[in-house]
Amino acid sequence: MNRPPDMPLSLLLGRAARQLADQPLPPMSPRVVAALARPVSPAPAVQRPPRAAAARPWAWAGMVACLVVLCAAALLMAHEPQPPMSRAAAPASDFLPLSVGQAWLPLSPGAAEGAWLVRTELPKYRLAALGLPYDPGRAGESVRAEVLLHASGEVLAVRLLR
Amino acid sequence: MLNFLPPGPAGSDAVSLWRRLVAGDASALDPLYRREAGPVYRFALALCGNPSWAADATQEAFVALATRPQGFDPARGSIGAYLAGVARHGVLAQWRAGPVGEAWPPSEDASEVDADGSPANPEELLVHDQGLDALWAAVRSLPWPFREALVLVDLQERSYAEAAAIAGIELNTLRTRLHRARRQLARQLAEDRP
Repeated sequence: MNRPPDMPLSLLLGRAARQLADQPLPPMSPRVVAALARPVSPAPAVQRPPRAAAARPWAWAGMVACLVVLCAAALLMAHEPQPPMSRAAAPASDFLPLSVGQAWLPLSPGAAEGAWLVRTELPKYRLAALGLPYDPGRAGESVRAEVLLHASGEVLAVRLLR
Repeated sequence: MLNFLPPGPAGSDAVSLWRRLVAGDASALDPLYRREAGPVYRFALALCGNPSWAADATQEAFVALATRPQGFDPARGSIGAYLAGVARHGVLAQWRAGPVGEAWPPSEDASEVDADGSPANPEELLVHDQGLDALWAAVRSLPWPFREALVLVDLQERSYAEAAAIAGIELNTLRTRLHRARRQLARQLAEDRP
């Protein structure tokens, strides 16, 4: 139960609450009307299992993906010189997922929001943050990569380029 | 609850409407708006005192729900609390960006506040002397976190749990803020008395 404030103040607050409750709702804006008119993107109904149980499949998938990318990246960095950025780049690894769970839901077919593939250069020392090996002696150099960027700005995955 | 709505026919409760929305049924948004927009708008209005900002924040919350209904998770609270939380962000962003501008509610008519003669009851005296405009002014003078707690619990009569969910804080934090808000409000009103 809420503890009521001192009596006079509670009286005042009660009057204010009634005044507030009497405020009429403004008409729907054109933006909401437009949203009403537009068909909502259907999404698969998600019945969430308990959090811990839900995390496990992602965790295992993430670990497998990490191992694959680690091997690929190690091979790449050991044998492949970095070509200049102007050359056409081919993927040198699979995507390394950096986000799990709900962030991927909007990527389902027909979803209103999407994601962008953005090509960039990563300093090699940043590979450590992704769990990838790198040569500290060449930490200042860059590697080319593509990041999968969600509409919210969250980085969903990254893959290295040749 | 001040804004209590009687239960509608089967399938018209908020979560059922939301499920229809998730399944792609856009016609569910209209009844959802009529059902939930009032408390969201009034929460935003009491927070910022600007009807335009409050209306914008309310509309934004519903546009967000219409375009991405999956953003709401029924396991984490009511859809009203979710919408109020989204609207809160909108109000907060406007509030940080600039001055409030038009203020709500407008000052009361003096004749309404000061009735003929002095009321005999001290409580009545306090209520009539100070009036609602003084109360709203005092509410607006509260720091944002205190004001938010007071609006949610004392002016909208939401439960502590729902208020804490909307404000994104722990239950104990809400209790502390509410206690301080009430104390500061009482002090402010006492200082404003002639």
